[in-house]
Amino acid sequence: MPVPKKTKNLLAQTGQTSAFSFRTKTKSFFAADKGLNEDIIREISAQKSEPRWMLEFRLRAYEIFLKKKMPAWGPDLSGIDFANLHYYIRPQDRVKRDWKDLPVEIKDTFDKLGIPEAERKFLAGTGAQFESEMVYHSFAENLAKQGVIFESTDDALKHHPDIFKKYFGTIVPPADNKFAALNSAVWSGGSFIYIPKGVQVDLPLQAYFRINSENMGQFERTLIIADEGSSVHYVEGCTAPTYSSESLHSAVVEVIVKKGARVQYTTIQNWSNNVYNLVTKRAAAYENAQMYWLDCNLGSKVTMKYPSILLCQKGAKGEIQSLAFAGHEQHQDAGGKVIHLSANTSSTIISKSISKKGGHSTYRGLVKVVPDANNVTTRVVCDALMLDKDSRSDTYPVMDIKEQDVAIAHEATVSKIGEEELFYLMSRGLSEEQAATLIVNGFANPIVKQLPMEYAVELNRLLTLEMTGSVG
Amino acid sequence: MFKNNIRLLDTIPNDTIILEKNSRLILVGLLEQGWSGQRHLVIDAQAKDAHCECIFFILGSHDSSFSAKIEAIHRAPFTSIKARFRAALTDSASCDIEGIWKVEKKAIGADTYFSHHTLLLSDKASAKTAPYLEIKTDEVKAGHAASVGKVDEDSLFYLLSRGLSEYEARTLLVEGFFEAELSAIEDDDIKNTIRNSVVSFLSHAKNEK
Repeated sequence: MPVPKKTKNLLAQTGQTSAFSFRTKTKSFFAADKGLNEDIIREISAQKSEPRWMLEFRLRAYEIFLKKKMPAWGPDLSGIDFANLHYYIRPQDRVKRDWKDLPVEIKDTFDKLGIPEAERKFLAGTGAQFESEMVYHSFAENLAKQGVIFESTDDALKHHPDIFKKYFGTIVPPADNKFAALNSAVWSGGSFIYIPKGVQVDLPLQAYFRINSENMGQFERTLIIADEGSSVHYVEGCTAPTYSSESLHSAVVEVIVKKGARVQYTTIQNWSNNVYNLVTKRAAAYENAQMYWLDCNLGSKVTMKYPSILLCQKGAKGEIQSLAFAGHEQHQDAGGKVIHLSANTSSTIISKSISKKGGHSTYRGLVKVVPDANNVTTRVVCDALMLDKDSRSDTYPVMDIKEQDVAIAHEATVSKIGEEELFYLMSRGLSEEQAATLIVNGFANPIVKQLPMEYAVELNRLLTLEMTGSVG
Repeated sequence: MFKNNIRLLDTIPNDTIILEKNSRLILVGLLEQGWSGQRHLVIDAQAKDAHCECIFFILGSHDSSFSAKIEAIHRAPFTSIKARFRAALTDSASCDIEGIWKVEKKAIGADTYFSHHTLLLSDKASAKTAPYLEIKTDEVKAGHAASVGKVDEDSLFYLLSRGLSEYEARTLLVEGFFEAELSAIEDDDIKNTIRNSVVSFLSHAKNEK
């Protein structure tokens, strides 16, 4: 499959060899010094005019961060130099709501990502995270009328302090892991969404963000609360320009799905290949609620991300689908966790990974059923595709079952591209690369087709780009 | 020529088994007595064309615990290590099997499989299973499967509707659960030993109720 014309044009415009290596010059309003200490945290909090409790929360989290050890398992994180990172940059004084008011440089970056086009078509609201803060925020009026809140997390803290304080940090406490603690100490930006009782948001809400300053750690914090009987689909997609030194992205996402509500959270992760992407995502689903994580990881140097669902009350349902593509010098350590805490709960985890050119993909998952959580059903399927002999694929599923009345099933396969499939396609006149690309697209298709159309198109494009030059 | 070698075990040994060139080892385990702590068995396929098949039956009752880490390492070309575990647990028995299946770079043509199926026959029985795969080459056939559950309600209903007592129906279903793996064993004596153990295990489970 050739590179799409649009992508070629983008490449020509940016004068780069890769569509994802462009960067734009920006002037930062405030940049904290490199490294992290209490003063920087106080400075961040003061810059944001935060209430006292948030500063205390940050300082407490910082203490936990210092005490917690780095994870002893999983990918090599020794390349992270905490002292050599910026922890806060803010490009503008306030969040702008209108596209035409945005500075040209920033617009330019988003143009290259195709965001205005995406917005024009059918997306209801856009929050664009540029460096650390929301700089652009458009909102469909009828949603605001219905009481839907979709703001940057910083704004939500100012505008909706009560609801914010009630839920913030309840699903992922700072002591959860070292990177959740770091995020809690220095978080900035991210989305805050509140869907009132019974409100169905039909169109996906999306936020687009990217790291655009060398050595910039991005620590966004997202909190979604779907009140009883409501539903929402949130989409995040990220690309970042390529830099020479390592960068860290460490987000925390908390989702609360109340009785009878439904939340879908879709991610397309395409950080540049020098980024450590270490993200904690967790949802709590209450009575008859449904939580659905759709997680696609294509970029970054190292990703560690295991979207989790706590099925807290009866009838709750959880689903996690993930797609990982590990290319040269990439390690995608992804998966999912579901904890069944109540009866009549069910879950599905489907994971697909592709490794090529020495790429390393890992599925790491957990299904846990506590005593007395009866009538639980779970299905876990992991498929891995390896494109060459230098690549690596690992699978680490754990099933911990303390209740009899359950039906738990798990299966996994690891395979390479079938010689027969390749031969067939090549005999029809496709080059080896085209044939391999087609097979990879087919392998990924069950997950790609769950995406909103625009993102599906984008993801297929990214897969095709990733496959370019992968054969021969 | 393959050297065929079948061994019947009554436990999971703390051991390292090295598979020789052109060999075929069949390990059949009939585990009725648990142990404390975690056992560690390593099966190391160091030479070309080494094959190993493990078929383990776990019949857990009282408060017995069956905890083991099984490591299978493919280091040479055209090796196969396949393991199938089936466990039925009653009372407060527990079973915790960690299967770590590794295919090293040189082990092209490796054929590897691990499965662990557990039937929980009482409220207090519990199971943990962790089938890990680490694959470093693409010339490989690798898979694993695991399940945990109770006796299938639909099958039970079917048998009851045909006039079987609940005990008869459950016995039949548990026997069927094990029979699925027994067919792979050629030795009739070993097969019958296992069948008899399943029957006495089930009568214990009945008497406890």
